[in-house]
Amino acid sequence: MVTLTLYNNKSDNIVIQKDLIKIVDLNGEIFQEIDVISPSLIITLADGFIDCNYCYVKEFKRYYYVTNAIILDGNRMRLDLKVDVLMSYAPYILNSSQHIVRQEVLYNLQVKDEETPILNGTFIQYRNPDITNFSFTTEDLPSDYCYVLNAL
Amino acid sequence: MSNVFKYTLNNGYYCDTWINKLVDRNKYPISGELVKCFNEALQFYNREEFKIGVLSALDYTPEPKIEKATLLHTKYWGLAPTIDYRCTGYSVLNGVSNTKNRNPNMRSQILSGWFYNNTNEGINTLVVEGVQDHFRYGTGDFNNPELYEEVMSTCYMFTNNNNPDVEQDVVFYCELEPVYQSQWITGSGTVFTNFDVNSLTHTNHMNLTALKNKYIDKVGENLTIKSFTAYGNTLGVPRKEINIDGSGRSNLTSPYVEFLLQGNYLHFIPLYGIMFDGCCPNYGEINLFANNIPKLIFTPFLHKYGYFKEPPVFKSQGSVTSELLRLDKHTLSFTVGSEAEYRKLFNDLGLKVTFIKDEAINIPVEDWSEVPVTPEPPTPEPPAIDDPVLPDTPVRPDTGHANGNGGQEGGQVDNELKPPISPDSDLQEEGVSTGVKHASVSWAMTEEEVNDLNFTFLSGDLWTNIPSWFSNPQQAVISLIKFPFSLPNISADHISQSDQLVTIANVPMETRDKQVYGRIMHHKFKTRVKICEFDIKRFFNSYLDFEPYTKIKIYMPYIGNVDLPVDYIMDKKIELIYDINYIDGSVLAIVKLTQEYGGHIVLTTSGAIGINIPVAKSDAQANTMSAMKSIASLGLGIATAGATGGVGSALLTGVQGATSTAISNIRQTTSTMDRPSAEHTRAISSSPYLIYERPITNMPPNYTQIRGIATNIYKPLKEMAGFTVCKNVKLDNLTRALSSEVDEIRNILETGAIFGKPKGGN
Repeated sequence: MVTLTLYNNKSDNIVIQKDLIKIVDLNGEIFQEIDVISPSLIITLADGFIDCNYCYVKEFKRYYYVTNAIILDGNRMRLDLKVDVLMSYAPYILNSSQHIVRQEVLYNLQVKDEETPILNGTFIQYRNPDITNFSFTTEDLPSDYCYVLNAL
Repeated sequence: MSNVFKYTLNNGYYCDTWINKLVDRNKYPISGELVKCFNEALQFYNREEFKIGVLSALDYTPEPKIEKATLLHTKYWGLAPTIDYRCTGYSVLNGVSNTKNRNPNMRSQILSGWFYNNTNEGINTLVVEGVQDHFRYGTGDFNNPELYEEVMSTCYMFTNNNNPDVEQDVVFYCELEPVYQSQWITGSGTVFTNFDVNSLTHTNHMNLTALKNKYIDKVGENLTIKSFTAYGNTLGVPRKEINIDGSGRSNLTSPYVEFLLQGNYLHFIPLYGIMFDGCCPNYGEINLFANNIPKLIFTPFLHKYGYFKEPPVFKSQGSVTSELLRLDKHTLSFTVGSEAEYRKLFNDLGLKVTFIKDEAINIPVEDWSEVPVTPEPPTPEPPAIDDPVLPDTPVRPDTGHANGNGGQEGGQVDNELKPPISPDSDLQEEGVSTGVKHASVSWAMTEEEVNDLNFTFLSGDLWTNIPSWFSNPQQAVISLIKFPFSLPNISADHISQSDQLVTIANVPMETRDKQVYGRIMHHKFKTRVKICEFDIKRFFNSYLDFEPYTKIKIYMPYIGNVDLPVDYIMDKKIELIYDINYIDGSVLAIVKLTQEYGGHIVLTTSGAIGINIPVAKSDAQANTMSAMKSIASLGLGIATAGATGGVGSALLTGVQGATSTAISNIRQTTSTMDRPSAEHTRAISSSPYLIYERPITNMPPNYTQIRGIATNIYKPLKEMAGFTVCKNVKLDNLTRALSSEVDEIRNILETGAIFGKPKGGN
């Protein structure tokens, strides 16, 4: 017999700390040899179970996704579970320091990002000088001392 | 939001406190990103605006523009020696101290300074006072001097851009004079300027009297800014209580400083708290500790408060660094506001404070308390190399990286080769030795005078005067070139002011009917003709602004398009300079950084700016015809290219039909050039311009939330918010997890996980 807390999980699987709504605490029955990573437990039907997609098994100290729920009879159902390693070890993960290469907030635009979607082609811009100190002219070539005669 | 800010509380009190909470350099590594930082800061503080008017100046000002700094007077205030400075054009904040790798058990560290507007001096003059240095070392009883490892305390002069048209917001830092330490507890403000970290001895004892004597002669004189130095921040280790002690100096603080010099940048260790200190018994002190840093007030004086607001997500701080905005040169501050804001901040902290609006007490130096000084033998100033300034190129750990800076950007290369700097003088004009300078004479001529020359050439009167080693006058002509500008406009100093009779091979160019005049040119070259200036600014504010993503060409009149080294010139200003050769019509174009960015040459290239007019011939008759045909064809060529054809008309007298042979001869001449001939480029554009070629990005909505953006940091994951991808995940000591679970965690972290409350919802 194990102790379960059934939840409704609103978060994506890759979210470390899931947004959970508790449904009910109940007991589950181990009916066969199980794998702690993906166990199957038999529980008594309870109100709201149909919204259950997540659970915590106290004895296993792990959070699980409910991958399948099979109603065995009018009173019992079998939950197939798969461990959520992120939530189960969230404190450890959060306290660990890691080399982070992509981030939603703490990004660095100066780090070359090969994944940035770039379309084919380029756009061209022309820019005149900010300061013009000397201008040549093509329209009215000067006639005033614009020739240089170099002679011996 | 992860922003942390440093800002200045400048609400009109003379002793506002500035609070340092620097911007995370990983997120805001460049000056341009500071705009973003400020925008987020506005949201953070629910402000509509900050005074950030000088941000752009900061962005593009590599060095603070301090016109001069004048020492007003020194004074003794409490136990802390203070020095007043006046900085014309810019305000000055004289702050203190900086330590590195300091023993965490060492108690106090002061970082302070204040400033106020001296309205009597006018808005351009902002007088700033600051405690020169008043941190003590050692424990409370000061029995055991600590082992100093690179301990350094410096006297800072913080300068604000105080342009009256732009509210001060940006604080610059520079070092007015390095000092080592001030043991104000035991030595009453003793300052050393020659401190031996090994023996803990000093030879330049600078107590108050010595300090006064040192500076009193300089009152009213301009001071020399010795160097720019790093800004030393202090971090405090939080303790368990908050205690306000209004009567004594602080004594249970345990602040420490940790920052790491990597490459040319200063990297701050993540913040756990922030220092404070109270050091002026005259005004009482405040002594604060906090359970949960960083909500903490620090102040060197009771009426100098700062507020260190806890960011909602992260508790870290960093620095803003970039090539142009480096922490060891610049940092930011901006005004938070009024007394009401202060009060709100303090109320948030549950602290009762009293605002003191007294003016700063300026004690004339003559009124200083004399402190007996033990005579010491005069010690020469230590050589500059011993000064404890932060090195520009610090010793880097052997990280295995090729650049030795731990993989961080901004590493400075030892023995760096400095790029050449374009000469600022016109020495080239005198100094170029071509063998022609003294063997030939150059004449600036008008179109009419060239016509006269042509007439003279065709006249038979000259032949008898030409020396026998010339078969014709044209053989004595080296070149005749037409330039697209009026020579006096560009070389006024190099051309005689009046016309003279032209001589060729010492033969005056005159006939019975005609005299040929021109103006002697004193130089064969004209250098440093500044054509224009470009300000190279970013567009994306990211790596996309650099090669290979962004390419920049410069079109130079009479030369063509040339690629510019984008990485080198980005965020800088460049100028286009022409060096013109009057003998052959060639031009050397120099693209260089403007002086404010070092003046280094970016590239050089050459072209033809003058139209070379052929004048050679083989015999008298053939000579005349050939010259006419050639000139005629040149005229056609110019006309074809859209030019005026002035050259052709000048020497086309009597020749109406140019032969195709002559045209082809000229084309052959011009075809030997590796660039478009002058007459062709003339038809394109006479104004330089830049051509930017940029990539086209196509970021889908919420891209950062679903995929993140590249970064390169090492941090605790609890400081992350949103989508995060890790690399080379290490999961030591996760003893409870099965190996398959560890593998799964690693796989998820390396492919992307979401921390905190995701923005996009789930």
